Amino acid sequence: MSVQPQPLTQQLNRLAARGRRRLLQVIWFKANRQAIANALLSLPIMPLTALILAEATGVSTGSTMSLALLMLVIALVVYALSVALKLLNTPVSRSQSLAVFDEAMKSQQRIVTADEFLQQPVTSGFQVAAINDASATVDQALNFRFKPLTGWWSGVSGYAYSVAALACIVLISHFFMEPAGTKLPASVANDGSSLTTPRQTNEATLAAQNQAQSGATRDNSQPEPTTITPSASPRLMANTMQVPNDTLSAQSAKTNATAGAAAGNTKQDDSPSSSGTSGSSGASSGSPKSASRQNKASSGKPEAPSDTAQSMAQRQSAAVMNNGEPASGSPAAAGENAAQQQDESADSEQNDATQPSGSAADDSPASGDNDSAAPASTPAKAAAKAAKPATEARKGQQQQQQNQSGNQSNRNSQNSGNQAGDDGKKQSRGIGGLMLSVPMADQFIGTQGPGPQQQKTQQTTPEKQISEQPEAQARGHASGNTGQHSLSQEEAWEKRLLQGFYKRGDNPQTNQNKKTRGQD
Amino acid sequence: MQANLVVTSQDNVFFCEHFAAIRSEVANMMVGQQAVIDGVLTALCAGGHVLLEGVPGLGKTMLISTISKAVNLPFSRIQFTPDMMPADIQGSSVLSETAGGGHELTFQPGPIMSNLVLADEINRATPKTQSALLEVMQEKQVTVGRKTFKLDEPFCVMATQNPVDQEGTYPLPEAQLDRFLFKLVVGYPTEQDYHTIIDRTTSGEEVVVSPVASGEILNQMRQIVRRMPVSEEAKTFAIRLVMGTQPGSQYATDSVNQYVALGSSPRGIQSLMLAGKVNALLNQRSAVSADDIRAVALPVLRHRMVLNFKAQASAVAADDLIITLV
Repeated sequence: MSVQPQPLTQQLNRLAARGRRRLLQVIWFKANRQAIANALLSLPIMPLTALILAEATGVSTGSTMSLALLMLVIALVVYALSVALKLLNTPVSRSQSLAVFDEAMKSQQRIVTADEFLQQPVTSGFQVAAINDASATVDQALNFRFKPLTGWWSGVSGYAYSVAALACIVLISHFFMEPAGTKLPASVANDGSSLTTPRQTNEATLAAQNQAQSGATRDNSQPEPTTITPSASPRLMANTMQVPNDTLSAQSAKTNATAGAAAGNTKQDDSPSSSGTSGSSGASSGSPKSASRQNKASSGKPEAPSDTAQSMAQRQSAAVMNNGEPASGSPAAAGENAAQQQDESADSEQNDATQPSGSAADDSPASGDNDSAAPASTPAKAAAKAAKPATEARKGQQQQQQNQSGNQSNRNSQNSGNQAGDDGKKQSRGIGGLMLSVPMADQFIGTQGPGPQQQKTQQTTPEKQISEQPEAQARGHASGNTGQHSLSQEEAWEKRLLQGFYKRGDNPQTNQNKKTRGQD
Repeated sequence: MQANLVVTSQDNVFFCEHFAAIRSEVANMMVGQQAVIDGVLTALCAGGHVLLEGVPGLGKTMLISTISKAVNLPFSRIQFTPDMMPADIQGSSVLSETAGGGHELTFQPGPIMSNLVLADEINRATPKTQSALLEVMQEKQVTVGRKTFKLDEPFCVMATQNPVDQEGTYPLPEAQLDRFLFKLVVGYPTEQDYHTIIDRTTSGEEVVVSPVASGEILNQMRQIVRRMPVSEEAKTFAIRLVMGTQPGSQYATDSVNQYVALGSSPRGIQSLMLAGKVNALLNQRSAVSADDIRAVALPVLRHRMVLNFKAQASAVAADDLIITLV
């Protein structure tokens, strides 16, 4: 047996290069797993930061797409940094490169030992024997093929995946919150009683108005561009009514003037304002109804100044809708029609009104004045009755919208959202539209928003509740022998442990042994 | 270079052949317990001492006596008792009568003055007597009065102790435990071994153990072991293994930090190296590898780790901790 160091050295160099490549591959494999986990863990940074900024400062943080792009960029950067750091902090030495083959082939470190002995002066026969012993193993290693590494994506902890899912959820919530901002509307915190009370009167008035409008030749299925909802702000209503401004102002004045006169008078000639305006004859056919509503509204519960303006605006809008309709018949017939419509509206209000203030409005003297009017014509009555379901449905929607909004500012937002824009696109209803709201008095907490509010307080006494007697008291005393218990079986090591523990403390020789232990 | 190769290959063959011969001869008398026989012979070839722990009746004394017959070395047995004095082990000077009618003190060597010493139930001796063995085991010499007596090589102390029946015993101090190369646990024989034991010991058959080696051969074997080279990988592995038994070190595991009060001393690394070399020679290799260190880690380190009360209360043994380290 002869030693051939040169070829063996070259073979070992080749093995070292192959082993280094293999080790780097394994390191990258493991680094990839860790880097994926780090990248997934870094996903929530951007959406959470955006959410916190939006909540704390109210600053808009950009669109969801930009956030998603930033998330991806940050994740990629974290991934690249993790892999780079792992590769840089894991140096691969020559002995490690060769040890890869020893481990794979179970050669008991023959290759590594031979390489080590070749790099130093050979001083003993054992070293030469070790080198020669490794030559056969080196030949086998040159033809050895490692198993391919698979499943680089596996092994990532479920925690990382859950964090990534959380990031996606936050991003999706940001998407939904984006149009209306990230702040929750303050209407959620308002008192529930204030939601419905100020608008009940408006709802009754509006229902009557809508009923009157639907009693005309208009198609109820068509959306009324200027349909006034109880939540519509006076400003908005004023904006929508700015087109025929002159007519509005004239008609509003005439409406107020003829509110009381049209109910009892069949002749409009006595009304200076109505005769003064030709166009008002047609308007007056509908205006008595609105006038009656106005009377009811005015004779009902005292309204806040904003409510009065709101009702005024509603009537103006109704007048706008009625504007352009031809006058129906003579003033007397118009008066009869008006009276008939008033009765119909009174009936519909009595049937439809669910709020006490609405019914109170019906019981007002103004309604009494309306009842004294002449019986309405049959077609108008039928039309009015036909319009009842639509009116009721609209009224229900309006009521629901009232409850959802909560306060004036939210009403503004809803009006801005509900109102179809000039471009006809559907706008979001805001966060209120997403909430399942149930009108509950005294359940909302928080700061009051601007707008008319009415609070009700009711003192309640706590109810006594009788608790049932616990079962323990009914059991009675337990007495008697508990029975025998089996002794615990001690194992041999337990006995030795206890014996040793107690003996070491008592035996003076043991204490002396403890002293001698320090002497070595 | 060629001569070294020849010597080397002969050394390998020489070692392996004599080792196998001694083993087979001992196996003629001992039934089973092959791991214990290999451990005692490994310690004998590595130049260390052995501590055998087992319940009575497992053949610990017979094993050592059989080995002594197989290697043809003087064998002495010391039965330790609580009233034993150091002079009973080392020897003492006695007054003897000379030919002229005078008297003189002559030194009478004790039973420790032998090549193979069986210290039976060593934990029954008092610490004073146990300490008398410390110098002998480490220095392989006996100092009595002003005289120092060197012991002949090979010298090996094979001590036994009973794990149960600890009444009136004195646990060995850590300093003395550290001087044993191996601690071997002798267990019960298998069912097949029982059949063989019955056939051999209760019948008329008489087993004779022939000497197949000598003191000289054992010395040569020890020199071969000393010449075995160790790679840096194996050294690094052994060093980290020993450091791993020390609580608070960078290589200690959580369980070691939790349950170990005192780890292995540097004698542990020496024992690992010597025993690893013997294991490499037995596997027909010319250098020590990490696998050889792993093979001898348990008997080398199990008696060098002092466990705390928490480990005793949790029934955690040193073997469990060593397995987690290797």
